[in-house]
Amino acid sequence: MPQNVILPGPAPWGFRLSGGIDFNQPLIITRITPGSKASTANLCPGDVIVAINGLSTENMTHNDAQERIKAAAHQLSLRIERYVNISLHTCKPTSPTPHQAIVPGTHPQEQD
Amino acid sequence: MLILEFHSLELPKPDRGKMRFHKIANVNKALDYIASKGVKLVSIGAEEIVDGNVKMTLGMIWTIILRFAIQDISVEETSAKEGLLLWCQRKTAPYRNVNIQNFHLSWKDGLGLCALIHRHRPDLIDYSKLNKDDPIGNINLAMEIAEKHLDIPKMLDAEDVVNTARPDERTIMTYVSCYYHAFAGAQKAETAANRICKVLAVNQENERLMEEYERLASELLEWIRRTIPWLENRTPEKTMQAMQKKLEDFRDYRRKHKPPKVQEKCQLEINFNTLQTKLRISNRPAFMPSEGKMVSDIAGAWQRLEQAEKGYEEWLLNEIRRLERLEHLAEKFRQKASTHEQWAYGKEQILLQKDYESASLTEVRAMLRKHEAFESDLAAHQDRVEQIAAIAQELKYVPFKGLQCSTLTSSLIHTIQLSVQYFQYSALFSLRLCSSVRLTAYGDLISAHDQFKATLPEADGERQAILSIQNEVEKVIQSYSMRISASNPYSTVTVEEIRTKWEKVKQLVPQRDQSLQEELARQHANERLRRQFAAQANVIGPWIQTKMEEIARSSIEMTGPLEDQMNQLKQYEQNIINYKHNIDKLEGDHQLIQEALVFDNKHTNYTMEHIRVGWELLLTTIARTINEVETQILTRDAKGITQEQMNDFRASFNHFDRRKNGLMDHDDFRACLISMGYDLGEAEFARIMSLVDPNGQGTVTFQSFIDFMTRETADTDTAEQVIASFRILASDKPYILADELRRELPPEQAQYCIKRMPQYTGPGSVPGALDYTSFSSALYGESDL
Repeated sequence: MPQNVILPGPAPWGFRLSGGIDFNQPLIITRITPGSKASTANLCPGDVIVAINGLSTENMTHNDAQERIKAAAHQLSLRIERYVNISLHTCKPTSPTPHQAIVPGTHPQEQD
Repeated sequence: MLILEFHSLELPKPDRGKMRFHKIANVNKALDYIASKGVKLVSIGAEEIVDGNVKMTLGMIWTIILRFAIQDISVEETSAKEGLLLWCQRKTAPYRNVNIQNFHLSWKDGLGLCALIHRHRPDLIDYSKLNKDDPIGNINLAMEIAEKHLDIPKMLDAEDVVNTARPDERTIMTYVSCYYHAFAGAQKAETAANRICKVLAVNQENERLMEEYERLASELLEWIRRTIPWLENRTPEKTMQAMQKKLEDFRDYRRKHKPPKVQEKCQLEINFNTLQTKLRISNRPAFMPSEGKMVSDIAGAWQRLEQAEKGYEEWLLNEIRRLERLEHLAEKFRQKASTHEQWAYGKEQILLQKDYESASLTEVRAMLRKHEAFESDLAAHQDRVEQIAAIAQELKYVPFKGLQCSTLTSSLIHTIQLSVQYFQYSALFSLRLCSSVRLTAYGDLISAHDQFKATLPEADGERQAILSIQNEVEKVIQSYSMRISASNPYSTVTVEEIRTKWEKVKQLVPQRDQSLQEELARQHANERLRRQFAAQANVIGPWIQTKMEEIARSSIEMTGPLEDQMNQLKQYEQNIINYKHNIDKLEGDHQLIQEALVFDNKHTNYTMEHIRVGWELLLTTIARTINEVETQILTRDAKGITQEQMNDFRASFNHFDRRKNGLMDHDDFRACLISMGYDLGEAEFARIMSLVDPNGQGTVTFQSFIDFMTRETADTDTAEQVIASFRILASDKPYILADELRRELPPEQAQYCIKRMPQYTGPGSVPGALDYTSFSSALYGESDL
């Protein structure tokens, strides 16, 4: 189930991108810088980037993808696919868990 | 300001003006700048300098020089000085007449400077021609060369240095540090360029290996795709020759066409493994072959091929056996059918005669006798006829060449229907002549033939008896002038028939003797072939088995260095290659056996197929095992450093480990790096510190020092190192220009980079700026965004 993630600009976004058609691998996030915009937006290592600012990544080389991400100025819009595998991801769920009260203006993970 | 300009690039612009306050402002700017670089200036104020306080000014100048030329973090002179000293010692170590212990006396004879020049640029100076008796000449020579080729101004006064008892340390240190910058800097650029070239070379090599893999994979898959239908085709041929040709084609396939393909497949696996290892070692992402060419796809296709193969040879042999039997049967049928046809000829006519209706009693009685004879004749024939019918039935359903069995069958059946149970056969003779002996064993055939030959005399006696009876009948007819035919009314067999058949027997017996002899010879020859094959196979089979075990043992038991293991494996490989001719010989014998249509061999449990498969497996195993050891060696060497290097590092560390507690502090580390030619900028040093002291404890352990040095000096490369290398070539700019690339790299690599580097669009960009950072990280398939 692909998800849409929007990162407010400007760069740096705080993630490491890997892969591309020239490497015969999917475009995948391999690292999230702690405290960065990527981590605030709940991106996780292992997320596969399916589209960048609306454009499909299906035939993109690594450089292409890199360029497009760098070109995003005010915001970066990514559509990602997450293959849920508990052992791989250390991310917290996107929706708040039921027993947590939703305090306006804060995200659950900021309460750490 | 000018001195500062000389030493640093990033300076505020001076005010233009001759007024005192302008000067003070300028000096303050300079002082502020100096202070901002962390240099503590003790009681130096702008006024003192402007007003020309010589001592203060000189002191300040010296401090400036020390700070910017020799670049240490702290104001402590010691670490920079020590680092520089150690560097000089290292570089002049090979020169026996040079002994650098300090920055004064050691340099008096000028050989130190010349040695430094010669060490880095032997083309600039002929060291062997120098000697310490001409110190002034030496110093001047060095300064001359340094000015002309290295852009270093002549800062020393040769006479001064030589004639002063103890030359001024600071001056000499300043001058020597210029040498340090020139050489270490050039060396750095060269190292950086080399590193980049190596990285690009690795890249190009990897790309080549990937392309080669894809190409070989497609070719192999294509061959498999073409071959499988041929092996799965089970439409039988009509003649035995055609089937034997198929068998021959299959043999060719197994002996000539398939073995190189087996090797190709093995090579493909090996290439894949080596490529992945190389990629892993050089920090690149793993290789994913394109769709349909994965290792699993190839393994699957190969399996299907071997399945098809397995059934094919079996089917071929069965078909050939079947055809052989059919041919044999058809031949038998032909013979028997024609014999029987001869016998049956005319009988039908006779049987249909209604002559008994108008005959007399005597005549009828005679006819009955005749009939009884025919009946027994037919009864005896019955068995044979049924055999023929059975063969015909079998043959009827086979599109066998040259047989019109259907018509013959129906006529025979017809004859049987007409005459069954009413006739008697008197010429037992005919039966014997045409008797079929349904014996399969050759021995039975021989004994039957011998038995038959034994009955010939008796049969001959009978024949004589019959002839004599006939003669008597003729004589009686003659003597009584009877007007009846001499033909025997009681029998349908005439004397003529007997005679012709006897002639035939006389012909056939020796013929059969001969064919039986030939058959015997053939059987013996086949037996010889079987034994020969068996003898070889029984030696080869176990040999292959033993070799497989040896190879397996070598990888488990080997405790010595990898090179020893490699040598042993190579030796095994040679043994195997030398053994091949035995396999070829066996194939030759096997071919003879197949051509002789021998399908069994009780002297050995090994079939040719067993041996073939075992041999192929052996070849594959040795190749694979060798490749495994190669991979291990690659991996080991990639991470390793030589013993010599290790000793070097240990010595450096120990020297700077002042408290001898196995730890260096940051300043020491900095000095240590300087001594090894690593003159680092702030940012670079900070980065390295974060690597060697990740927890910020302020100390560097020997282990982290070694790890760092290994990473730096070993062949492994990372995106960061490549970026650092480009940064050096770009003189610390965040982008690089095409001209710089062309200047520092060989033309091919420069072009490669220029073509592929994207435009740099960050701060400070200029037209033509190329982004080496994203290029480098893209090489490793990773970018930090």
